[in-house]
Amino acid sequence: MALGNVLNTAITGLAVTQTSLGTVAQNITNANTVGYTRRITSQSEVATGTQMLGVRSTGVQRMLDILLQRQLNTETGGAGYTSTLKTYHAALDQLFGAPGGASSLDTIVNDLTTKLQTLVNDPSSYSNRSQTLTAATNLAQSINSIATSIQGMRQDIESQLSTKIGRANQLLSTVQTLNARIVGKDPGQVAGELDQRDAAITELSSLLDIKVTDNSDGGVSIFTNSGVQLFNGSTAAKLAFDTHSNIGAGQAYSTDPSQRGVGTITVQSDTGSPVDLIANNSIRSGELAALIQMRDVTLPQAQAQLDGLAAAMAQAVSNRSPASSAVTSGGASGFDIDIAGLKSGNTITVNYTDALGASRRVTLVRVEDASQLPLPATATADTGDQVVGVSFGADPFDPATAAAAIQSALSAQGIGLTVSNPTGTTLRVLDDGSGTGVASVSASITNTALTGSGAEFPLFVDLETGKPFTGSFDGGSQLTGFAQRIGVNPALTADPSKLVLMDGSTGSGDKTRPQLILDRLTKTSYAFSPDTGIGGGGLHYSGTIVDFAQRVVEMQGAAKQSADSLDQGQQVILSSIQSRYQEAAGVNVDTEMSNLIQLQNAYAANARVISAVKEMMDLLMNM
Amino acid sequence: MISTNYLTSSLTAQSSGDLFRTMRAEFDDLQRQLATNQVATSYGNLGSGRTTSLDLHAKLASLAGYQSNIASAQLRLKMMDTSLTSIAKMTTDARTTLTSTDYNAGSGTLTSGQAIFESNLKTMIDALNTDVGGRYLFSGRTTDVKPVETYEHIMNGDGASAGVKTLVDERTRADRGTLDPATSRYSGRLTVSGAGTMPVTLTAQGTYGFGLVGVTTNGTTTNASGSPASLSVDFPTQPSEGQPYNLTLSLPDGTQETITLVARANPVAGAGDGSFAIGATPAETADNFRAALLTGIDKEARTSLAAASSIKASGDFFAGSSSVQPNRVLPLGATPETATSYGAPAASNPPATVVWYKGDDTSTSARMTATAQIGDQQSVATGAQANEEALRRAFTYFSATAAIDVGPGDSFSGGRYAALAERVTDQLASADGVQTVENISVELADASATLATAKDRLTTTQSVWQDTLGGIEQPSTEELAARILDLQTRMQASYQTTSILSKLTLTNYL
Repeated sequence: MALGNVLNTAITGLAVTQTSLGTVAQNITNANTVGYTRRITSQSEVATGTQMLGVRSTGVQRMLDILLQRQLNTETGGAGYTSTLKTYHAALDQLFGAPGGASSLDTIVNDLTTKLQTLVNDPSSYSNRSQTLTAATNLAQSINSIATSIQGMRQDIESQLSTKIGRANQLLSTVQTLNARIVGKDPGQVAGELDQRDAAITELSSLLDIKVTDNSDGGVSIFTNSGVQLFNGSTAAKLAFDTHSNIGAGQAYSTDPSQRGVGTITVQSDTGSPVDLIANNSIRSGELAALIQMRDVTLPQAQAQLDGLAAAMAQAVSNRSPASSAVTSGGASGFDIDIAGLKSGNTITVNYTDALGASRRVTLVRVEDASQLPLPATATADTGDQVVGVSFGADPFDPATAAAAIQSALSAQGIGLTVSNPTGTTLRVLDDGSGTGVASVSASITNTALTGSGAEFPLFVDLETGKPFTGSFDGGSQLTGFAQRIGVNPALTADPSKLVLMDGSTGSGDKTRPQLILDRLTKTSYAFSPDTGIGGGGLHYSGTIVDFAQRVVEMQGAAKQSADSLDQGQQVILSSIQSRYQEAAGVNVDTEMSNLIQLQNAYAANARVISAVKEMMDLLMNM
Repeated sequence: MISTNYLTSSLTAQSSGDLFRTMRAEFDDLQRQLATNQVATSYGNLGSGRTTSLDLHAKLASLAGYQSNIASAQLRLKMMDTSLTSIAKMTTDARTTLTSTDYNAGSGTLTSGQAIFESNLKTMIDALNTDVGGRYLFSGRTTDVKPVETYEHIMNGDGASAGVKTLVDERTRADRGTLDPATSRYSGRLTVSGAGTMPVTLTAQGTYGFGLVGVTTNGTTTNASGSPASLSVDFPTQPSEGQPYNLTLSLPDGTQETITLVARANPVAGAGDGSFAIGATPAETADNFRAALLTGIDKEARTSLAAASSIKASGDFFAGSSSVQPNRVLPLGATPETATSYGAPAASNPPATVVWYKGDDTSTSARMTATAQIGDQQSVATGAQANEEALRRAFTYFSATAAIDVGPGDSFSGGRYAALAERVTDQLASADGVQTVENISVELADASATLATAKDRLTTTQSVWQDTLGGIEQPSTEELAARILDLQTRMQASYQTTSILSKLTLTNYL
């Protein structure tokens, strides 16, 4: 081998060492760059037959564990989901106040019961009356403000979603741009683009859970986990979000676009029609999934809890249950009940045994607006009853017409009961005399006047309409968003004496009415809708109002705690994946330094070869 | 919210940064716990104790309510007890007051005994009008209504409506009947058969005056019969010397008086001393008996009957209330002496009679008009009404005494006074089976004792619950200190290690 060859070989060595040094320098300088993966320079021997021609650099490679990267993406999405949930649950929990704190919901409820106890003890005291009213007002306002905050959070989520969707679109278009540069190139030449594309995909997976498939040409395709294509390898799909403003309790998600009161995420599909990603449950993880869950499930449930609480508080004090009396007519037996003053939304409940001997319960709900019929089974909180809506015109209603309407509504449901109006405002419910049997008939009728109709009175009213809460379904459910509208009856604020005085002859020291309010809040059991999630298993919760308020606070606290621990677990998983990923793909300055020393040595050795060649050349020359 | 991208190179710094941040946050939280003495700032952070915490907060709030009920009920009971004690003392004293202060017509219109009773009446009105913070204690459920009218209105009426004095006057006149102009005698509304008739027949009016019970002589009793009641005294044979005839009369206030007439061969001169002469024939004896009887009736009419009328009228006055009209001599405004009807006048505005008690009178039990709830199930009745039986009785006798006319210039005044004193002494303070002022006091004292027991029990329960709540909501200082120390050590170690690690880089050794 000629000396010239040796020189050339040494020079290729110098060149490769320089390239490697360049990589080391690149690694060290980018040690703290987000999304940078460690590079190494690969090299191979150059030889032809017996001739050894030196070494050459075969390119720069990214040190990357594909499997770890996938996991990292998945867990990043999971962490985005849990941390978002955690944040919103913490905010929701905060709304209910600190344990024993003056502003916590349970303290405010307890305060009202304490004030009522004092009022029962001395009903004539002006200060007791006004303190009770203040406590009731505080409670109503506290419910208002919590409910308003809940809807505020939903509105905030709506704009968050809009921003996040915008970001997702940006990321998809970044992927599209970078992908175009990468496709068909040697990976060694487009390492930077690859890094950036990976970063974009990881960020995208923190927003929503995606599936990434590598194409043979170096490009990628992105799908949602449900298979909707977001990026087909050349063109990014456009995600769209129709932001709704003025989100309130009445605005809910629905797969039916005409019923939908909140925004949804759509993507233009290949077939041309937009696909609703929320409707087909495409987004199951990531920040978007958490935001959607809060907006459409958790927060509406919290709203339902407050609505249920507000409605129960209002109806507990305002609704009377007229006594029923047993009656027989011919062979049939049943009950008479006075339904005078039955308001739209008020109920008549009949417990009966059907022809097969099974115990059943039917709840008749008065509706003025016949277009609302038939009512859904969720119209009453009770899950054990059959709901039958009945319309018999506006107030004042004709009892005979009412009885006929109830009869035909029951017949339409195949319920074998006979309903008539024997006299006045009396409603008579009879069995068929043989198979069926009526066990009891009860009614819940809202008193709308402060005085003159007994101990029950509208302590709380719907502040928007100024009318008592009757649970009406006319023009939409009065229950929905009642938490925002509940307030102490302004007529009562103007004249607190009506907290005690039921009519002209009530003594001002008569405790009947205060005792009634107290007992209805603390002792009487009510059914709370399964929408509130308190009962569990799709059943209604049965308990006192004070109990229910406690359960609401408790449930939100527990939800917060479990969101916390979920997030904690997820962060642990994420950290461990991150550190493993870090080990594989991160820059370790020490490693680089030792490489540097090796390279320095290699460079020096190569240089030494050149200098040896030179010396040998000199020897030759001086011969 | 975490939106950072967890990517590669900067992870080391980030994770140790996270670690420091977490430890720092934990440290801050421990510091907050130490400062606020509260484990958590929300129910979410409280952990599994939140159910107990919520429950205990509700329980403690209701206990606080019960405690305040007890405090205010105890104050009320104390005030009521003060009032009732003074009334009870007056009723007890009254028994001796009238007997110890002899009738002394004096120069004024009232005897000293009457003056004491008048002042008793005023004291009693004040005592029953006691209020605590604007809440009247003896007004039943209408605690904002001053229960008892003023003394002036009760006694003298308010111009439009009649007071006790008018009622006493009307009833007294209606009971004693018209003065016989010939004999200057009152009949007490008894009709006695004319002279020369045998047997001597007495007939009561029925509504007013004396009622007839029976006559006893020689151990044989003849009871009055018929309606209106009548009674005959026959002399089929001459009575023996010293044979007594005891005629028992009933009076409007429910008491009975007996006129004893003794047959004498030679009666002491002057009729009215309870004897009659045995005549030559039974018919003559009957006439003598009749004459003595009329004199006896007149005397009783002027003394015991007047006292009884006064008590009856007072009693009826105080039986009235805002919903009950007191009975009056009807028709209103007619001459009472000949009246035959007694009852509640038609409702009118203003009412015919002053309504002395304006409070609540619709409850069956005065005690139940106010209750203090002192537990979920337990409540204590602490109500009282000024028109309770014992108090009405005191009012009746006090006002009857104050209203009766025992002025000078009437030789029967002393007898009337004595008859009244006898009744007051007998019946004011106690009678079998009726409520006394002491009964009310005892009932209220029972309530007060129950309250005191309940208070002790509540205080104990409260402290137990508070301890439990403290265990849930408040951190243990020792544990907290230990945790802070531990955390501090860990943080120092971490900082130290990080610092050492940062120096341990190959860069420094090249």
